[in-house]
Amino acid sequence: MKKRISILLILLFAVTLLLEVFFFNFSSVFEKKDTFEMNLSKQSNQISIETTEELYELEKSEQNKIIVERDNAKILAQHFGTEYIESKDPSLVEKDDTMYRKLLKTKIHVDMNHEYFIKKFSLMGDFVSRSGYELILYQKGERVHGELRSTIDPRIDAGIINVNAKADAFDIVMLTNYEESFSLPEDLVAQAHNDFSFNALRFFFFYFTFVIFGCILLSKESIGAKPEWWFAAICFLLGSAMIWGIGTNQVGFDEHIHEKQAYELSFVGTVETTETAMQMIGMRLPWFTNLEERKLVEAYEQENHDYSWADLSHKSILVRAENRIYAGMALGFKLGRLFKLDFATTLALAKYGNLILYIIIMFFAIRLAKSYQMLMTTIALLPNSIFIASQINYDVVVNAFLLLGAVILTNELLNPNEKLKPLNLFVMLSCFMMGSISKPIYIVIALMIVFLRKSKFHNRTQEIFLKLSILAIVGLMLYNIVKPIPFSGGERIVTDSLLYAGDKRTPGTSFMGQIQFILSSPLEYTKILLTSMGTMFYDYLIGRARFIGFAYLGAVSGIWTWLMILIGLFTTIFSVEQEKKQTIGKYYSFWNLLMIFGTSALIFTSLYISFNPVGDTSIEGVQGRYFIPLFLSFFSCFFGFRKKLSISLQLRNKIVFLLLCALNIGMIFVFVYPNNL
Amino acid sequence: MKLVKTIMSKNYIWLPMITLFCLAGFIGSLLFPNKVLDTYPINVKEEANDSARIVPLGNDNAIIYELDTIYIGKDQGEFCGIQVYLYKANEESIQGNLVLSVYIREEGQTQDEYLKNPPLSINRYALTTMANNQDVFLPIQNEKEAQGKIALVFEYEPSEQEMQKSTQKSSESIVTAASVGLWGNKNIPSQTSTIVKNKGEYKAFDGSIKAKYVYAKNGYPFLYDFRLWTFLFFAVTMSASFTSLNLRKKKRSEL
Repeated sequence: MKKRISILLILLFAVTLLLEVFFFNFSSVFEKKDTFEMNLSKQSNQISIETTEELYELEKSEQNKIIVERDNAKILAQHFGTEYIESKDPSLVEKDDTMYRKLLKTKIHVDMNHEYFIKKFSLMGDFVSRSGYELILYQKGERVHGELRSTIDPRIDAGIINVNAKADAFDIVMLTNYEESFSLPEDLVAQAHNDFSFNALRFFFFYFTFVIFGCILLSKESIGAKPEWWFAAICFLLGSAMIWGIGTNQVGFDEHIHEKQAYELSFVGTVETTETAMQMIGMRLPWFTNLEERKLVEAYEQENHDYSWADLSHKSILVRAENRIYAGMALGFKLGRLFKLDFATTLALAKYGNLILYIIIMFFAIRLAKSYQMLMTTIALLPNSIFIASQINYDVVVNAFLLLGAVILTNELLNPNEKLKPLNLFVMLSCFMMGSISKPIYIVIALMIVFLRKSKFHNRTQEIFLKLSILAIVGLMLYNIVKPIPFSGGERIVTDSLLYAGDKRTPGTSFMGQIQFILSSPLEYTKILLTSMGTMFYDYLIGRARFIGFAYLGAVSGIWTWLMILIGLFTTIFSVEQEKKQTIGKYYSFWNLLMIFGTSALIFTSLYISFNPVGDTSIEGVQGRYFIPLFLSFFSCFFGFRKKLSISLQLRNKIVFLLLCALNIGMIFVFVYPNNL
Repeated sequence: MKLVKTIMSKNYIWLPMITLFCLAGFIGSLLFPNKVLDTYPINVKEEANDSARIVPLGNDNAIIYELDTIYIGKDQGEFCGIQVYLYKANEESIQGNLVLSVYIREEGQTQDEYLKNPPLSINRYALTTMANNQDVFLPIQNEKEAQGKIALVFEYEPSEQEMQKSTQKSSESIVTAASVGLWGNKNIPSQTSTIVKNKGEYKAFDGSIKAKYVYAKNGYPFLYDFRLWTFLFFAVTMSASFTSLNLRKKKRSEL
C-alpha cells in the first residue's frame, strides 16, 4: 500500500512538472523570446499621445458612502456643538441626484516596428495617484485580442497584464484621477516580454489536485471508516490553496474589521500598528492580479511593516469576551512577529490559525456524528465554509462551534430514552456559548434543550432547574446585546450618539430608531420580515441569488446550490448497511423547524436594526452563510425518510468526497488561481 | 486513568464547588472592577489638501495645548495622559527631556493668568527613549485632579551636556527650532486650542497638534464569563448530581 502511494506521488509529481514546463510555458519554450521596452515619457516618432476629460458614474454603494459620511459629519458637528463645513472634492460632479467622478483619459499609441509574442505586458512609472489602463493590441493595423485591463497602484508603480498574444503595435488608454494640470508620470516605461517562469503556486495547486483525486479513487477502508481524517487532510489542502492563492488581497466580507480585531488581540496592552497593518485595517492594501504584481505588492508591504515607526495605542490586557474567537488568528500574527516573518507570511500564518481551529472542531463534529458522518462532512466541506476558514474572519469558528454543539444535541434527540449525560451537556452548552460569544443571536439554538422530553431527565426537579439554567444563559447572552458590559475602545466617541449608531454603509440607519419603528408597527414589521425571509429563500431555490461563493471573488450559479442541496439530501436520506437507522421523531422535528424559523427571524431582525434604514420595506444585508449553523438541524428532520442503499460505505463516501472536492477545486481554479498566473 | 475515573465519579462534589466559585467570581467581578487604559484618537489624520506640519520646541518655544478632558463622553473614565506625535530631526544628537506641565484653567482665563498658578504636575520624559515620528504616550501625575478644563504645556529641556556646549558657544542656540517638535495639522478638534509661546508672547497655532487622549476606566473583564459559567456549571451540576444519585439508588436496590 505504502509503495503504491509512493509511486503514485512520484508519478503525479512528474506529470505536474511536465505540465508546468511544456504546457503552461508553451510560448516561452516554442515562441521567440524578444523583449520590447520603451520609455513613453521621452519623445519618439513611434509614440503619439492625446488626453481628454471623462465622467464616470459612481456605484450606488460609493454614492451611499459619501451621503453617509456627510450625514455623520453633520451629526458629529451637532454633537460637539461646532459648525458643519462641507469639504469639497473637485473631482466629484453631482448631476440629477447622481454622483460622477471626473477622470482624465490619456491615449498613447506605440508602434513596435515588428511583431512580438507578448506573454506579459508591464506599464511602470512614478505614479502619484491610483489609475488604470486598457491595452489594445494591433497586428498589421487590425485589432487583436479582447479586452485587456489593469489598475495601477502608486504604491507599487506598475500595472501588469497577462497577454499571451502576438502584436506589432498597441494603444495604452490610461485613466487617472482628475488634476487641473496633468502630465504623464516620470519614467513611464512599457515592457512586453515572453520569458520562461516556473510558477510554484500553480505547480503545487495542480500537484495537490491530482493527489487528492488520486488518493480518493485509490482509497480502501479508511475513507469509509474514518471520513473525519479525510476531511481534515482535504480541508487543509483546499484551505492552503486558498490562503497562498489569495495572499494579501482582501477579498472577504468585512475582512478588515476582523483583521483589526485579530491583529490587536495579538498584542498585550500596547498595540503597535505598522503602516502596512494600518492599510490592512483600513482595507487599503494594494491588490495584485498576477504573480509579478504580487511580488511588488509583497515587497511594498514588507517595506512598510516596520515596528520602529509603528503607531501606538492602548487596550486592556484582558481580552474582551467577544474577541476571544480571534485567538487562533491572533496567535498567527504573534508567531509571525516572534519569528520576524515577512508581512505576507505572517498574514498567511494568521489565516492558518483560523483554518486549523476550524479543522479541529469539525473533525470532532464529524467523528461524533456516527450515523450521519457524511452529512456533517458535506456541511464541513461547503466551499463557503472553507473559504471563510481561510480568511481572517470569525464566522467559520462561530459556525464550527455551533455545528459541534448541534451534533451533540442531535445525538441526544436520536436517543430519546437515554438520560442527558453531564459531559455531553457541558460540551454542548460550551460549544453553543463559544459559538454565540461574537454573534449572541445564535444562542437561541440552545433553547432546543428546553424542549427535551422528560424521558431525558431523571426527575422533575432536575428538569426544571436545568431548563431554568439554560433560559438564564440564553437570556443573559441576549441581554448583553442590548446592554453590553463596558468595554475598552475609542469608538465610543461616536456610539454615544444613538442617532449615529448604525451601519456606515447604508444611509438612514439608526439602532434606536429602528427598534422604535418595530415596536410601534409590529404588524407591518411582521409583514416585512416574512416577505423578506420568503423572498430570500425563493431566490436561493430558483438561483436568482447565489449561495455558493467566495465573497468578493465571485459566486457560482444556482445549479451548484442545488448540487449541494442534493448531496445534503443524499447523505441524509440514503444510508448504507453499516449505518444505524435512527430518527429524531415528529415532536423534535417540529421544535427543530420552529427553532430554525425563530433563529432565522432573529438574524433578519438584527440585520434590519443594524443595517437597514429606519422603516425600510425590505431587509437587506442577510447572507446565506449566516444559516450554515442551522443546516444540520434542518437535514436531521429528514432522518425519518432514510432508505438503505445497496452500495458499500466506501463507494458512497468516495462519491461524496469526489463531488465536494471537484466543486471546491473548480471554484479555486476559477476564482483564486487566475490572480497568480 | 484511575485518578480521572475517581475524579469523574465524584463530579457531584466538585461540580457544585465550581458553580460556587463561579458565583463568587461573578459577585467579585461586579464589586472589584479593574483599571484599563483606553486610547481615543482626537486628531490623527489630515484632511484632503492638508499635510502634517511641525510645531517647534526648543529656542524658548513652548506649546500650550488647551483641552477639556470630559467633552468626549460621560463615562470615558479619568484622563491620565496624552499621546502626541514627536518630531526629532537628528535623533542621536538630541539628549534632553520633553517636559509636560499640567495646569488647571478656569473659564475665561487667559494663558498668562492660569500659567501664573503652580502647575498641577510636571512630568519629564527622556527624548533618548523616544523615536522620531512616534506617537509617544505621556502619562501625567495627579490625574484625579487633572480633569475638566486643563492646559498642557510642552517644553524642551536640554541635557547638561547640551547646556555646557551652549555656554561655550553662547551665540548658538541649544537646539535649533526645527530639531524637536510635535506634529500638527490644520484640524482644530472641538474644545481644544494650540498656542505657541515664544519669549513671553502667545501666538495661536493655525491648527492643532496631532493627539490621542488616554483615559483610565473601569473594566469588568470577568463579569461576562463568570455570570454565564455560574449557570453553565449549575446546569451541569443538576445533570451530574441526579445521575450519580440515581446510580447510587440503583446500586443500593441491587444490593
